[in-house]
Amino acid sequence: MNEVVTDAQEAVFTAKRQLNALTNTIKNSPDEKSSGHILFNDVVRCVCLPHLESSKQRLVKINSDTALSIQYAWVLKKVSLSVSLSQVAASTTELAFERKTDMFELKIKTDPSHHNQAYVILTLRQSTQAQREVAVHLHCCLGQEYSVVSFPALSNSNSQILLAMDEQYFRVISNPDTQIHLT
Amino acid sequence: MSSLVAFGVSETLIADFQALRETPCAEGNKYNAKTIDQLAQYICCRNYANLTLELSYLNWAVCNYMQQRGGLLSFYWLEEAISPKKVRHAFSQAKSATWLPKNTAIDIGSQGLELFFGKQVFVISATRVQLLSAFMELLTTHFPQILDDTEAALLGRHESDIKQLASLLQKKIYKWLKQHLPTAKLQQRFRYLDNWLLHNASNSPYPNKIDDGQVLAFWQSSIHEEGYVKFTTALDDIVLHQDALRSIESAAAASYGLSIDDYAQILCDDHDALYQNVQEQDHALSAKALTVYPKFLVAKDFERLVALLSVYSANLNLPLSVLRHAIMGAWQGRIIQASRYSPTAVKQQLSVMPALQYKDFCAQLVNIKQVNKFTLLCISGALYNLQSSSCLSVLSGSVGDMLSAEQGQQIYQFISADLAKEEAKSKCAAESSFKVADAEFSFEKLQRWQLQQPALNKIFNAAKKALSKNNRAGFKAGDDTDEEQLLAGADALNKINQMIDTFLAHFKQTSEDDADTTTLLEKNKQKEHQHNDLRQIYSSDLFIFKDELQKRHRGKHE
Repeated sequence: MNEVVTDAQEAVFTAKRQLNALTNTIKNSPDEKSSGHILFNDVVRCVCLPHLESSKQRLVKINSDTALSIQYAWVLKKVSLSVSLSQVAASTTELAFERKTDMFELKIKTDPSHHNQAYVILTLRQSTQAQREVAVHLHCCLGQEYSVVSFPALSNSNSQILLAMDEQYFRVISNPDTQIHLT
Repeated sequence: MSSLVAFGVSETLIADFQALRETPCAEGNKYNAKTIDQLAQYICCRNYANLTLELSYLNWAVCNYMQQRGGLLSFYWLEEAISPKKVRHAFSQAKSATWLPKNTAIDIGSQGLELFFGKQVFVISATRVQLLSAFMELLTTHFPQILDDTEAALLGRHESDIKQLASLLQKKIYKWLKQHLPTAKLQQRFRYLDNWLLHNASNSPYPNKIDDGQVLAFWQSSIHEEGYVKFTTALDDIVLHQDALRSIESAAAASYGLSIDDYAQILCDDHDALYQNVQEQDHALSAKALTVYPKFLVAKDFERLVALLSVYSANLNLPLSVLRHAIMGAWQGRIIQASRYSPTAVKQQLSVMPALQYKDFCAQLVNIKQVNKFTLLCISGALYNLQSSSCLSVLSGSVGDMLSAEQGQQIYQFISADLAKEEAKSKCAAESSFKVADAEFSFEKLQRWQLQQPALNKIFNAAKKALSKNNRAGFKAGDDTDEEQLLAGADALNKINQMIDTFLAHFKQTSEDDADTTTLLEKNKQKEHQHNDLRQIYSSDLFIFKDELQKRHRGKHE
């Protein structure tokens, strides 16, 4: 038998073996399914549909993986409507805190009746249908870590949430170093 | 490194493909199983040069036409404009775009997307975009820079830049795949197996048709060979080896009578031709395509069929190996699991014996066949609802249970006569074979026949009833499963049922010829005999395998 024939057979054998591994992986144990392997599509979903439970889980993974968080930042930059960059440290000590961009305004006011709580009030100059009907999301980046603070649908261009001041979300959104993206 | 590397595919790449299959979108999965199987073919066959070029052309169109609307990110991910309908919609106004590079134009034609570069035209079929998009997904996941780089390289550019970008990208992919599709171990295994067969296949000239005894002997003698601990792997490799031999041989025979040596030389010089053999593999029987959407088979049943399908798709006659793969293979799997815990666990697994006997496996197959017939009836019902005339032909393998031979014959004659009449009327050529008549078949006629033939009517009522009872994905009311999917599924199920029949026939003692004359008592006796036979084979196999498995798995921890 000619060696060339064996070479050709070997190449076909190898390709078929590999193809089987990619097309018939059904035999693996079921808990291996959706093992949290993240494709670019998942990163995009995480940015665009942050309220989904799957997005929340993935964001944890994205935060712990530099390559993924670079992708996340890239997508966020592309889709965000407006950004409020890190602030000059001025109002850190005061609890009345304000941020303004061309598209949104963010105010934090302590709850007069409960001093450990604060209202976060968001005002939008223009809004999309989803923001009026579903929810508004602010993607916050502090250090290298991303988190999403979600507000209920707007009413009269406003939306507000009440946060406990020892909560992680509050710490992020009230920190002047945080970059805040509106999507 | 994990054991998967021995299979020649990295864990990352396997996870990528699994994730691609499960990629969600607004409704259901973004890519269908067939698309991902196709992509896997291109990748495993390293046949991505043309795909990369096609993708680069599509990206050129997206970048340049949609530059104001978010470009690549928007097209593939935000708008997910990857179905034929959405592609057409996304580019519907492209003809009047004034901002494209000089001397270029984009249009939507009957074939799909048409890109004009001066007098040159490049066409991308709208149905290919989903595949290209899945490819883009894979690339973007691994080369995050690709989106920016592509836009920079293609915006405002011409055809030569597309080609240049494609060749650059191709080199990148080549380098990347080298890590994820390591071939060295698989090549070693091929050589080892090839060599073993050469020296141990004394009964027929090489390449021989291998038999069950040889499969077992190969596994037994390869006890110290890396990769052949499992019987199932040994069988899988043999099937693929024989398949590779056969596919090259038959391709050589088909190529103008070239000798196999000459043909192989061509293959070694020309990758495209080489991998065509692999691409032509029958993918109707892919697990993902059958068990996901529409769900023609449940995954558990498919798993039971895996060995049978691979052996019989390769045209090999290895009935005992199929049984061993299913029953002893599962036993060995449990023992290997146990060996990760303790020697006592192994000992215990060795003493509990396989969960099923051979006769139980055969009974399972008979059961699967029945379920498949029910599914075929559902497919027919769904096709009927789509007013497709193929609703009749998909039933050919399963109406036997519902009609007497006489009734079947009567319907067949009735239909043939009706079609012949029609044909005479339209003064068609005098050729009256059923095939020709078949082309004239229409749904309207079928409805008329139903009125004239109560038995036919009964079949379709049963089909509709079956469909209404079917709760599997793709068969529920409101699921818009299309004709093509249904026909592919029916084809696969009919093939599977045929293979089950061929397989079970090995264990029948009496020929079918005297089936008419046998009484019920004799039939029962036959059945008993058949089971006795299977029982004997099982007991002797049990002896062999217990010995082998003890050698392989006992004492690893001791």
